[in-house]
Amino acid sequence: MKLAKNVKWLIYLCGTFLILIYLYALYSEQPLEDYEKRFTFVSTLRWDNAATGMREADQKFRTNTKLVAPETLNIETQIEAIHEAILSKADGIITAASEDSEGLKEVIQKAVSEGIPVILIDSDLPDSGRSSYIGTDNVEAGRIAGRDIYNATDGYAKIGIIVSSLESPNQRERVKGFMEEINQYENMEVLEIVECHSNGLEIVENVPKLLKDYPEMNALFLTEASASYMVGDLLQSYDISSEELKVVGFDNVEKTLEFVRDGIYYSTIVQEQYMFGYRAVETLCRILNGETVEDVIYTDVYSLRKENYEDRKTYPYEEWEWHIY
Amino acid sequence: MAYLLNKKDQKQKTIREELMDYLKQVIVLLIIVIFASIGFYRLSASKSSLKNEQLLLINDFYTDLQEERDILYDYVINKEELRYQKLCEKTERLKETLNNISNFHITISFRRDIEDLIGAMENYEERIKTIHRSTIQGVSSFVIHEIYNETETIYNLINNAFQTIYSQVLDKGKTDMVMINRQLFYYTSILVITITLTVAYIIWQTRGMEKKITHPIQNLTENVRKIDLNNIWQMDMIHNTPEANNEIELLVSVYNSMLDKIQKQFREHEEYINTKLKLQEQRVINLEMNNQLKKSQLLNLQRQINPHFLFNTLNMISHSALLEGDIHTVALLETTSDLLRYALDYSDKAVSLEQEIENIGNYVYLQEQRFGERIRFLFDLDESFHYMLVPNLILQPLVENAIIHGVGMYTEGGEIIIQTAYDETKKMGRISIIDNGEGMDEEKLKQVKEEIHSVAENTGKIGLANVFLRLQIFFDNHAEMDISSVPHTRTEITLLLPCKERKGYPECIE
Repeated sequence: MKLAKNVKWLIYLCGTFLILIYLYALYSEQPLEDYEKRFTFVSTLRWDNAATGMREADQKFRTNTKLVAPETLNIETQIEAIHEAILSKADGIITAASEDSEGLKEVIQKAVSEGIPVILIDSDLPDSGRSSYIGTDNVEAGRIAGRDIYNATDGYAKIGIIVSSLESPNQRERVKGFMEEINQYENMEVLEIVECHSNGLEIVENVPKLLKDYPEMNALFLTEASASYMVGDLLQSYDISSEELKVVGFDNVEKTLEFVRDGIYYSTIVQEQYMFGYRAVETLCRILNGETVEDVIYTDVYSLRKENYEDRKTYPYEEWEWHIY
Repeated sequence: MAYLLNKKDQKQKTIREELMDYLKQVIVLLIIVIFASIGFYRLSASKSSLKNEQLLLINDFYTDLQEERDILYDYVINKEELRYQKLCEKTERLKETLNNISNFHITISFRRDIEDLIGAMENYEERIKTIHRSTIQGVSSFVIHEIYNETETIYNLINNAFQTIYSQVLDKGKTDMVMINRQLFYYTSILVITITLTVAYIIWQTRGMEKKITHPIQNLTENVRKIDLNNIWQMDMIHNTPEANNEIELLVSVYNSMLDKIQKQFREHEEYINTKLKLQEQRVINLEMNNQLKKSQLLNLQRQINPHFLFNTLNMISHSALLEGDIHTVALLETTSDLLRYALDYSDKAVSLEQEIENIGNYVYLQEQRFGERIRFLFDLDESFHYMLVPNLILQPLVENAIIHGVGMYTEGGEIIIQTAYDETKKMGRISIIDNGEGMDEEKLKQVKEEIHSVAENTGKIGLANVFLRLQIFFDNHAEMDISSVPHTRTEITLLLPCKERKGYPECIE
């Protein structure tokens, strides 16, 4: 009896070991997920928010989106990357119009002419022949920002604006919307618009200069993400309080969110970048299925302040590996 | 038999069953180990063979691509149809290679890159076809060169992408190697653990078997081997080891009981031999005693010579005295003659105690004549057992002794009592000669006693020893003689002679 038990026990043990070995072997060689369509996302920067949305959509629609980003933003290399995607016979291309450039328009037209649908996200080039635009209504975003500054300063505002580049359509639209909004009020004026090209060095150089040049300035509108997450630190190092200078930022980078939460910024204009990516893949799939799609698809944009900080929408976020062009 | 199968038996297995169990276990464990080894081997083989194949294919692709480009250049310059055929073949091969590469399961992004390359390759092929078409149609070389430039762009694209892919594969290879090594370590350790456990278990089981079966059997065998006729009664029982198998236990207990029986028989046999030896010894003693008897008889014969001579002489003197009218002397002589006759007639015969007492009476008469009032003789007799037979002349030496060593020196008051009595309890007749003479001190007494009992030494004297020896022979060692003495007061010699019963009358005193 006693022997029989021992044998059983031993056999169970060894059997378990064997099963473990084979299970481990099975898991270590798990098959790669399959996909039907190849999309290429030629981004202007490592844009993980949007990429996460794309990856989620990839899984849902059985597609694969190749993530391509530049080392530094350069319109020529972006055009080249799009061209490569065309030559690689991608099924669809997603990109962002970082500049209102003829070259970009041409390459988009070429893709469309070869039967490759192109989706622009974040910033639009309506006359490029792209299949669809997905992104924030940037004019509306500018208006929201203007209203925020009005609320923050009670309508008496001398405003500085920091943009990435006025060549960029979305920056232009944001400024346009902002101007439309503040022009309704008498006592609000824009002192200067500074271009920093999303470049850290320029921001560190130009923002203090702006502050120095206009001591009467009591509001600052940052129209893009890089400036938004850098200016907060600068203000703190120059000891400028949130009372003296009301700041409205853009996008929801972690750092920016902290500044809003801590009251250093009055607000930040939040776009749903995750949805840009998700909708872009979804729309490409719809186009390839032969559906006609809307020319422009707007995603939500809203102002995040300290008061509604906890109510903000959160989306999954992950860091991805990017192909560098 | 079924009754004998107690609880213990139900629990335990027979040797056969146990061996079968053992075999089964070993086989199962071996199968497990073999399976584990095969699994391990297959895993390690499949892991390591993948990489070389990949690298070879990628290498093929790269060289083919270089060649393709050269041929295309050649074709654009020389416009030979043969070149075009070659180009088509090469293109097909490149596409096939890429397809093969895309089947590698490295990462999803790797696969995607390869698929992009396939797309680019298709574009390249299209351009080549366009060039071919244009060449045939005779389109201006300017246009062809334009298209050729495009192929160069695609070539560069492919080449660049390929470089990154290649480095990706190498990187992947490196990280994979690390992972594979770790996996191999993992598998190896599992395998080693399994084998170690198995071996340990088998060893443990073997030990168990040894304790249960081999060891007890060895023990038994060794014991059996030691057995031979000289030591079998010294052999120890085998102790049953508690772990031992039931059957072996049975075997051992059977062996033990067998040994026990043999040893018992040996002991019985030994006792038998001992008694036999004793018997032989007894016989030797008996022979010796017969020899003694013969010797004493011879001695008697020698002594008979003198009495006969004396007897005749006495008769002659008696006649002479009768003639002279000396009645007293005649009486003395006749008594002496009777004494002598008695001695002569019954020298080697048994006589009744009554006759013996009568003879003593004669002897006493003579002594009374000699000693007169100096010694008084008293008889205290129980005649009921006087019918018993005794050797002749056993009492006379005793009375003589009592006179010579006892009362002989007394001038008056000497007293000798001759007493017979029957001892009911011992079933023996008792004859005592008691005197109130000198007696013996303790040392002398001891010496005399020793003299009596040392049969061998006794040769010449007709004394106590002679009497005792004759009695012993006559009564087959059942007679007893006792001497006790208190100096100057009393000396008593007692003979105890076996006599089964008494007959006749109660005792009378004379």
